[in-house]
Amino acid sequence: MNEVVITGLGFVTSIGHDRRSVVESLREGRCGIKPWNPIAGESLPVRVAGTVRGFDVEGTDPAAWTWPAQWDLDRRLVRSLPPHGVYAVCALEQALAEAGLERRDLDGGNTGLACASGGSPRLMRHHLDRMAAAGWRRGHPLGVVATVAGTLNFNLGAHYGIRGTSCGFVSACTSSSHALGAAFDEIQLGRQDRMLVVGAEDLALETLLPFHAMGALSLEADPACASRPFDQAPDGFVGAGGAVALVLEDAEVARRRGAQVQARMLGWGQAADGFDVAAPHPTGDGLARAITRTLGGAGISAGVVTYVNAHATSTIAGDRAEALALRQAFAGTTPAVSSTKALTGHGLSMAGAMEAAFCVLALTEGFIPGQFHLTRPIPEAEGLDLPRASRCCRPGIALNCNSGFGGTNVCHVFTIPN
Amino acid sequence: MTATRSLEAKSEAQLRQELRGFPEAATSAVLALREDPSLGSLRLAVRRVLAFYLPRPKGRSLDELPAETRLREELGVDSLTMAEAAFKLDELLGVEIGTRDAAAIRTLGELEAFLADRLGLGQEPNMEAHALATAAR
Repeated sequence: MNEVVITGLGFVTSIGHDRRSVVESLREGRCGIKPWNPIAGESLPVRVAGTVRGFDVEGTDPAAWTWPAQWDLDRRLVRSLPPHGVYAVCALEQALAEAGLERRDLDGGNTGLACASGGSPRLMRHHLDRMAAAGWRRGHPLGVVATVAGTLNFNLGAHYGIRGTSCGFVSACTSSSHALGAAFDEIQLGRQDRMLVVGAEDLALETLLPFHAMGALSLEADPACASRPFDQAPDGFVGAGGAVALVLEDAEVARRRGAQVQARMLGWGQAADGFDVAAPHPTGDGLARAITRTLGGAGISAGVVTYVNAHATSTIAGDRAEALALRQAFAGTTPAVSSTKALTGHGLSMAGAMEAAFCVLALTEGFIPGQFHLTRPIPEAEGLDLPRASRCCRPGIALNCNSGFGGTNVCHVFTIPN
Repeated sequence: MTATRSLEAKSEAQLRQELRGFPEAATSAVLALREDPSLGSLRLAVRRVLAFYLPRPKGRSLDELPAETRLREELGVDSLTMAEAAFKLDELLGVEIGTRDAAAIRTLGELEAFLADRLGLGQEPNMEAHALATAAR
């Protein structure tokens, strides 16, 4: 079995658009959640979100979109992108630069792509409205490829000349978690030398407000305390947009080309609740088994895990179930646990890639992100080590946990390179 | 009511919104067409809108190219680019360019002639020169 390493990360997130600013935000507890109102003059029930600053992709015509000047995006690429596709390209460019890779290194058939996104309901709504107004006789020719859930892998695969694996993943809030896991398998099994993993999400009314209909979103107006994972007083999650990219490589391939290895990915695992379409199993059964499978598959015991990036979205049911799952899986041992969604908001299908990348940052930069915004922990979290501020230490092994609709639970485990 | 009534019915602000992100030269040419519906102003507006959709180099001008210029071979206009430009021209001018029509259009002149025909704009050689000169200012 091939060893899998991480050689590049890229971020366009509510807490920063580069490695340094993301690390500083995670260390210092800088919150990316801001006031949010996509409809000027209207009062929405949801008032804050993890917004992406420096980009303007609010309009429905890509011709009018803008992005920070350091990225030179060709309009022929942008024309078929969803709004968050712009984020995705900027994040992937960072990750490729960190990995020391150029486009010509990607087209040999040994590089694959695994993406996750919920598509762009906002842009799809726009195109469908226009088509309906035209009697369904004509519509925008790029409306499909720019909006459906596979839009990232269509666009990025073509733009970067990917001739190996190219696939999109849709499993709600574990979408990019599954993408990362599948990418790991492709390399470990020797099918690909390298995998690009991208998760991205469009922060828009049409993406986010349907969650309000489920009672899942925070109605808090104060950005500083809207997202409070593991607290007794959360009233729902805070949505976030952005993109995160990771470059995974066969360790031997990375070594031969002299790439700087940031972390080893030891494995991943999953287990479903088989319980409810939306609610987690109340005891966290599926997540506990996913953790156990992940650690078992990687050949390590729970006692050696030093940091857990929890999924905890700041919903009562989800946080309670996860706390119970962690207590069950880590009985007798106490890794530090934090949910960075307190700072970033919940990136939905991007969450898995984002938080896995945060685990890599924790390993490489030598810190454990704090559990910010926590005042009174829920009783179910008793016994968990929830640091109120970031700790300066080098965690040896970090575990990422994510859960999604339908009771999916996915975990990844990372360590520092040999 | 004139043949370009769809365009004339729009305010300058609306047209500027529809052309947000386009170079000012394209916007001014479309506004000139609204004020002065002629074959010449149509040709300039179409060329400047189409130029926005072309592969790099950015800012390539089509103003002076001959009508025989081939869209695919010389300008790199593939079928999706053509469809995208046609969709924008439909939005601006209210002229539908069907998939089969678009596939049959091979040159700049054929595209202009197709639109002129649908808009009822005949040959106006003098007006053409006038519009080109006016918009160029």
